[in-house]
Amino acid sequence: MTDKDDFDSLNDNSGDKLSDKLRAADEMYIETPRAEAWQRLEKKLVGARKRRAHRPLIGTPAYSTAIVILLLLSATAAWFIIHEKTLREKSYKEFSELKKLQGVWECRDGKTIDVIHWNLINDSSLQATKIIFYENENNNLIENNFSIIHAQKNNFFIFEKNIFISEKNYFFQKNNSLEKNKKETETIFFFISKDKKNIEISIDSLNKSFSLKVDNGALFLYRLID
Amino acid sequence: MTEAHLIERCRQFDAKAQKMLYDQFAPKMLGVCRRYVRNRDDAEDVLIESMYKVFEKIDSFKAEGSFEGWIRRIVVNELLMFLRKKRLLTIDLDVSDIAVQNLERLPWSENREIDSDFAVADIMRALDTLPNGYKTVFNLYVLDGFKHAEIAEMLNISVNTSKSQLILAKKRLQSELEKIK
Repeated sequence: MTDKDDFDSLNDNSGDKLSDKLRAADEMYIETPRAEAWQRLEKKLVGARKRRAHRPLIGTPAYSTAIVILLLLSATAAWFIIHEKTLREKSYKEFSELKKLQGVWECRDGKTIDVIHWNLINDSSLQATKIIFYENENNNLIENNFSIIHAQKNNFFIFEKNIFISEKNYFFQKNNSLEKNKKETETIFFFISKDKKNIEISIDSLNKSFSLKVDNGALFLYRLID
Repeated sequence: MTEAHLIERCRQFDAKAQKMLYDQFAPKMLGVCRRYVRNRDDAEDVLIESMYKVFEKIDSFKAEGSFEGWIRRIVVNELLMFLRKKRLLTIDLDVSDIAVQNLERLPWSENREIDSDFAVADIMRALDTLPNGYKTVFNLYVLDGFKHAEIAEMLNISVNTSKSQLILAKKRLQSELEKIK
């Protein structure tokens, strides 16, 4: 038997009798730890368990998923806010244009009427842009006691201006939209459809029904059906 | 419960599974500890720290090798740390290739017939008398299956030093066994 037989060669730690014997014995050898050993380990593990329960989620798959969801929600919210802002700015722009065109209108009798939005509708058929509540047969003023029914207010900006004119022979001086020699009480409504869709609104006034129509979302036109 | 299932439950830090795993491997690992560390209290200290690391690091076990081998590696690393901390592992000898070759030629085992005839208990007792440096290299190489290159890295010594320590350990062991005979 050589040295190599007795123990492994320096580059191969297997094969000789003694090493095999020792390894076999080592494989079989066990030594039961005392009960206190587990108790001490268990104490450490309890502490670790508590730390794990309270450790931040950073780095865990749940944390990553939460971050992704949060980013998506943020992006959606940002898009919505920007989009809403754009819509609002557009509406404000329209409103701004309305304000720009508003003004005090003189009647022939020297009275003034504060007309808002009058010129907003760039339409040759300007007369159609206003609603005119004529006096009744007894020449009495129609009270401003009508109400809008079925109007989807949430979808509209509604501006209202009541004009009561009791004198005769007035006319509007601007835009060549003259209404002469008529006693009128005008109530002018302007609706702007947010979603730019056509819509019909019914207006009930003193037992009269009016049909209201939005054209392409701009300031809509309305017409007396009488 | 299969080993894979047990590991999975330990990954979730399940207390019962941890106890089961401890009961399964602790006796064997304490045996490993005792080969390196004479004192039983010290050996149990190392065992507890090792098993704690096993549970802490069990997520990193990739099931590519044996689970017992993975645990054993942690235990051995912990043992080496313990020996270093206690300054019980001092291997200053740095040996050249020529010196190693000379050592290899030494007739360190005069009566070769006795080796494998000794009772394991005697051999282990003789092993226990070796200086820590010899014993550690012997344990790592012969019983725990590490290569010299690995041992050199683990103990921060040269490969030649690892080889020489092994040769000298064998020589010393042979001598101790002769005394018993």
